[in-house]
Order: sequence, then structure tokens, then C-alpha cells
Amino acid sequence: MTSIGIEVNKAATSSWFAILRALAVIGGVVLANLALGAVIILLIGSSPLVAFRALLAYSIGDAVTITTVRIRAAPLVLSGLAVAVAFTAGMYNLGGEGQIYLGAFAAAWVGFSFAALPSALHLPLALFAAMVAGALGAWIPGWMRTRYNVDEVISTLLLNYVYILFTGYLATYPFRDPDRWSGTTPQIYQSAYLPTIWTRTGLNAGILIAIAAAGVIYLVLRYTDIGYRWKITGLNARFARYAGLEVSRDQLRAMMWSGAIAGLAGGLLVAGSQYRFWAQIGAGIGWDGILIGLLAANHPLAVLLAGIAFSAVRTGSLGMEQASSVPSELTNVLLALLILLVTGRQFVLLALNRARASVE
Amino acid sequence: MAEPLVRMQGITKRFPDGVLANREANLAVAGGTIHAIVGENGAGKSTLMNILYGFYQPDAGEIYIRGKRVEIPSPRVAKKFGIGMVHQHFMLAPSFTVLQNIILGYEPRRLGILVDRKEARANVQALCERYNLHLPLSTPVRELSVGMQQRVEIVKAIYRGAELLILDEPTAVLTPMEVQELFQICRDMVAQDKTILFISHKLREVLALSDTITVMCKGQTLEPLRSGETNEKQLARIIVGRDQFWEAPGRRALRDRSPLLNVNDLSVRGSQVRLAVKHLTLQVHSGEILGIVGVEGNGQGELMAALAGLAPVAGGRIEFDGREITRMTVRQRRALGVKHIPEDRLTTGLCLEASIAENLVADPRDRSRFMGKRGIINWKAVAEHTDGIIEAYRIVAPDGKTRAKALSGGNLQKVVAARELASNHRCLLVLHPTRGLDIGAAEFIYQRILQSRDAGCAILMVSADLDEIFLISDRIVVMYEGEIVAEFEPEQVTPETVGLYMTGARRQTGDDIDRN
Repeated sequence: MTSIGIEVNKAATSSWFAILRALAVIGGVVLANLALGAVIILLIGSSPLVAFRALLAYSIGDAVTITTVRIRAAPLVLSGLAVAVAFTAGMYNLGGEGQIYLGAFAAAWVGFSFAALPSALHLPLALFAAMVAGALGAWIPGWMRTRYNVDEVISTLLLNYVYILFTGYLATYPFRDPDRWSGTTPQIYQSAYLPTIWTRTGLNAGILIAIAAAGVIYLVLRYTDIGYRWKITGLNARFARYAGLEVSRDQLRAMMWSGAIAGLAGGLLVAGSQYRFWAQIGAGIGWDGILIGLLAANHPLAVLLAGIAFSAVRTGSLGMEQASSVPSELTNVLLALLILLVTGRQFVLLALNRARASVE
Repeated sequence: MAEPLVRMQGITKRFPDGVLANREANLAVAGGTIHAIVGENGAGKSTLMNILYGFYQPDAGEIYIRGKRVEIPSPRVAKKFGIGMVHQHFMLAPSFTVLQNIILGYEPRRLGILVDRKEARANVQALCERYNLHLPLSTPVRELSVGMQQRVEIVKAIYRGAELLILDEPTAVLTPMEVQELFQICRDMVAQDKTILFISHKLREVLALSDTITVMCKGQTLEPLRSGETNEKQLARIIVGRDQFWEAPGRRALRDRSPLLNVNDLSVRGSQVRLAVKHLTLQVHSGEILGIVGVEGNGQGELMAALAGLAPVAGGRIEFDGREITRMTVRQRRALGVKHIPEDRLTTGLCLEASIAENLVADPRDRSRFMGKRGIINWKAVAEHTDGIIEAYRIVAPDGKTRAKALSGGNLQKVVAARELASNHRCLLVLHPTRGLDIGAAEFIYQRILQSRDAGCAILMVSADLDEIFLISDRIVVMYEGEIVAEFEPEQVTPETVGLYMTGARRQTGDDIDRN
């Protein structure tokens, strides 16, 4: 009892320290990942040097790749933020992928259904619809959790399939574009397009939305009452209940905001690059979001950086395939390794905490 | 003098943050004796024990066992040297049986991989008989009382070959009866040549049980004392380093006051289907401390949880200040001034991962004082408030941003008390307010509780420590199996009599209770 009393640990509460630590962890994990990747590339008989040079060139090379990176980056960052918000309040939202589909479909529907709207209205409306759809998608598992104690890890995971198949159905039957292949909605009107902010590369405003979202979430968690409540609830729900916080209500809210942010990611996919909904539009961004959240230790600003880095790796892998004999599937192997390294890191931290706890 | 079983020489330990926990501490424990270590919180007792147990490595100093210099890099090695430790927080798997817990990790094997249950049972049984320890080996540990769980820990340590047993505040959680039983166990073990080293705050117990006493003060050890040659007063003086002691002010006549908290026919379910609190009726008046005593697990916890709004009520009615609060949320009750110092300050009363400041503003009503429009918290104002509290409550911490988990037990409880007593509190639910606290911190908490009483707060206090109950209660009720079986004025009764009611050996009739 007195023994732990002696350790004084105040640096950990400083957010700069938290950011630095998150960055160090990301760096360490990425390095370890590259080392393991190099071994695998050697094993399949290619040169890691050539492969990684290509990976680098195509991920942060010229202006055009920067654009491809950043078009993906915005939805990835939002997807990671969605995970982080839920996690802060002690909820696991593993349903980002499904919520992205819901958001994407809602945005597309608003985008192709209303012809004569001015852009200043049409685009916000589409993105708002995306957020509402995502929030509703997350409300179901959140409500089941807070009302009936249904484990949200399972329910969010399984609802992904429900949402993906449901939106797929909508795009295949009632809202199919008859002139295009099955599973594709009509194109949205130009008034719902995200504006381009860098004409030479076609970089759109999505990245600004992602940066703003990360900043707002950071500020909300740090300075507002709801942020405080989420944080306390996530750290110790028993204490939160004792202190008079309304844990269920707050957790349900966190879940819905998480869904809304995931939905917005889907909305950006439609309004920023695809301009229509189609049945594979999510492309695993929701799953990547979970990894990004893990990598960034759910710190909103670290999520921003990790999300951008993640999209660079994803884009670079395609270039690597062209420039070397290394298949782009290797990125999946690398990412699988990344998962192992990240979860391994959590495991090591857990073991350390246990050891510490036993001293107490 | 023969070479002691354990000798620690010049032990110095500095933690990474610079705190010097042990300064050239010396300790000599003779084999076959009971040796007590006493001192304030933060005096370095636990650190010294954890060094002996291999949890921490000293920066300087030597450890000798039976005269031989040894290094103890880990608890596993300590076990090899015959050193076992029973921690204050038990390390048992609640869903495992007593037997499984005892042999966990040290199972006798059959065919190399299978656990030989028969042999395990026989071995443990033999151990229990040898030391007169009665344990229900097939019962899951979660169904045992705290005292029994402690016994399991003791047997576990002996089973793993402990010759020297370190007990960290073993009596803090026990009833008077259980304390007596523990003492008997200790004496039986010493009679069979085991050695016991225990940390305690309770000087009377230390004097009753131990042969030798080592006082620790600011990381240093003083010359060991023989129990027969000292007394409580002298010991207390050495520990605290001052002569003046606080004495609880006398009780006040409250006969005419109307009750502030009115509990009528209240029933609360326990963890199983059965009722943990059965049709209980009680009143607490403004300016009164009602002490509730009882063996742990007789419904006190459930009663307090129901009053605080943390457990659903199965039947009956709770009124506070003339308003029914039976179905109110914690938040609503807190807004009315019902505050709560819970039993488990580490997981319920505090968020250890959060800062002191964050812990102090957890009550929504308190936090609203620091909130502007749009729910933005003025953390600067919170920090000032926190600095004030740290000063007023003499909390030892670098600043308000310090995480709660960095504080010692006494300081943790001060943070809880500060939060619960800071703003309007008209009813206080207190459980074991000074458990594990040293004399200084305990006095401080008592003073604060009494201040609240004098300000007209209605206080309901549950404690396993009869001394504490007798020290500050204005009225005492005994709970047994979810019911109130007796009620006394503290002057009318001795702790021994109360003990009889606690174990169900005696019970006041309805008339007796009315008369009181």
C-alpha cells in the first residue's frame, strides 16, 4: 500500500507526453514491421530494398500519389477517430465498416435524389445524412449494451454484415443505376461534390474535415463536461456510477457519436472520390480504423497522424507491386504482422500492469 | 545472541522519482518469534517488506538469511528461501475452490501432466491439521468470509514452504473474533517453529501478539523494542513523534431532533436471490453518527449501496428530509446532499488513472460550479480548488495533476473525504473510513466527520473496527443476517457484549430495542 504511494507519476497526465509516447510506439511498431516484412520478401526471393523503395516512392512520392494518399487518408482518419471516441467511453465499436456503408449510402441517396439544391446546402445535407445513418447504425448495439448488457464487441462486429448486405441490397434493387452494373447507385449531383482545394492534384476538402474532426474531438475530450464524463467512464465505470454519472446514457451517446463519425467517413468516400454508392465502397476502411485507433492509443491527434501514415502504406503497396515482383497482398501480410505487433504491445503493457498491481 | 533468521542491513531504496523510501534500514528477525513493524503510512514498512519478498531491489544494503548473504531478485527466489507473504489485498482466484487456490502453480503431478488431486488434498489437509486451521477445501473462495480468505492465503504460503511469513496489515479487515482466531493461528505456527513478521497500525494488537517491535520512521528503523517492556502510549509517541493526542469530543444530546434519514421496511437483494437486507427500519437524525457494526457480509454493504442509489431496492421506502428517494438516481441523491465514502476506495471511491483534480470534481453538482456555457470546464478554476483542498487536507502530492494512483492509502482516503465533504452534504454514508490508515490520517478523517456531524449532517457509519465505532458513534446498531438485532448507546455497552450480538449469539427482543 505505501509502496505504490511513493511512485509519483505526473508526467503521464501531460498530453504532450502522451502524444510523444504514441508516436514512439508507432515508430517502433512500424520499424519492427518493416524488418519482419523484409525477411518475408527475402523468403519469396525478391529484394526488400527494391520493394521498399517502391513502397516509399508510391506512398509519399509525387503530387499525384499525395492526392491518392490523402483521398484515402480522410476516411481512414475518421474511421480511427470513431474507434477512439467509443473507446474513450469504455465502448468497443468494431462496427465502423458497416456504419461507413450506411453513411456512404445515405450521402449518396441525398446526393442523387435532390437535383436543384445549391452546393452550400446539398453537400452539408449529404454529410449530415451520412452522420445520422452511422449514428443510428451504432445506436442499435449501444442500446442493446446499455439496456440488456449485450456485449457490444459481438453485436457491432456482426451488425457489419447486416449493414453491408442491407446497403448492397438497396443499391442492387430499389436504387440501382439501370445504366451501370449491378450494385451501383446513380451518380450524385455535382452540388454534393466535395470542393477541390488543390487543383493540380485534385486534393479535396475531405482532409480538412478530418483534421477539423480530430481537433474538435481532442478539444471536446480535454475541455468539456461530456469529454470528462466519457474519460472517467472509460477509465472506471464503477467509479463513474458511484460519483453520480449517468454511465449508460453517456456510453450510448459515445457510441452514437462514434457511429456518426464512421458514417461521415462513408459520406466523404461518396462526396470526395466515388460520387456514387457501390457495393464494395468501404474497402476495409472500417477495419483499418480499428488498427489506427490501436496504433494511436486512441489519442485523437495521434489518430490523425497514424491515419495518414496508414493510407500511405496502403497506396504504396500498389506501387510496390508494379515496381517489383512483390505482390500487393504482401501489404496484407505486413498489416497482419502489424496487428500482431500492436496487440503484442498491449499484451506486454497488460502484463506489466498486472505485475504492478500485484505489488499493491 | 544467536544469528537471527533474517537480517537486513543498511537497506536503502530510492524510487525513480527520487522518493527515499528506506534509509539505511536495519531489521533482525529471530527465528520462531513474532516480530511487528509499525510506523506511519509512508514510513517505508511495505517497501522494506517488498524488498525482503523480492519485489523491489534495494539500492544499497545486504540481506542475510541464517547468517548467509543472499540476493533476492524475485518473489520466486524469496519462496525458495522460505519467505512467504500475505498481502493486504488477497491474491486468490474467487471462482476456484480453496484447494485449487492453495495448490495453484505448485500442484503435485501424476504422469507428469495431470494434477494429482488426491495427493494435493491429503497434503493440504495434513497442513491444516498441523496448524489447527479449519478450511472448507471444496468451497469456492468467493463464498468465504474475509477472515477465511486470509486463512487460505496463510495456508497457501505455508504450502509453498514458507518458514517466515510476512503479514501486511492482517487485522485491518477482520472482526474482533477473527482477530482473536488469527492471533491463535500465529501462536500455533510459532509454536511449530515458524516465524512471523507483521505490519500493523493497531498498537494494542501489536503489543498483544508480538515478541519484538521495530518502529519505522521516515524510511529509517529505530532500535527494536521488546513488547513486554513498552506500552501503547510510549509506542504511539515514538511513531508520531509528539506527545499530544487527539481525543474525540463528547457526544451531544439529540433526543428532540427529528430524523433526517428515514429507512422503512427496506429490503435489498444480495448477490444471490436471497435478501441481504431484510425489512430493515432505522432513522438517522441530523447531527448524529449512527454506527453500524456486524460481521462482514451481514448486509451492511448492501444497505449502504441501496441508500446511496447503487443497488436496486427490493421493497420498502427510503426518505430523506421528508422526500422519498427510494427510486432516485445517484445523481439526484447527491444533489440533495447524500454523500458516500465507500468501502473500496481503490476501485469505487476513486479513479486511480485520473488526476487528483479530476477525482475531486466527479460529482456532477460539484463540477457544475466550474462549468461555463456549453459544458466547458474551467480547468484553471478546478486546479485552484484542488490546490486549496490539497492544502486544507494536507494531502501529500506534488500538485493536483498527480494521478491518484501515485498517492498512499491515507492520502487516497483524504481525496475521497475531501470530495464528499467539500460541498453541501447533509447525509453521509461512510464505510470503514480509516481502514489501513495510520494514526495521523485516521485522526484527520475523524475530525472531518465530527465537524460534519456538528454542522448537522446525518451520518451512517459502517465499520469492522469496534474501537472506531465506540470512539465516534452517538448510537450503535448491530446487523446480523440483514436485520438489526440490537441497538445501544455506546456508554451502555462493552465491545465484548456487542461482539455477542454480532455473531448472532444474542439478540434484543422488540421491547429491548424500543426501550433504547
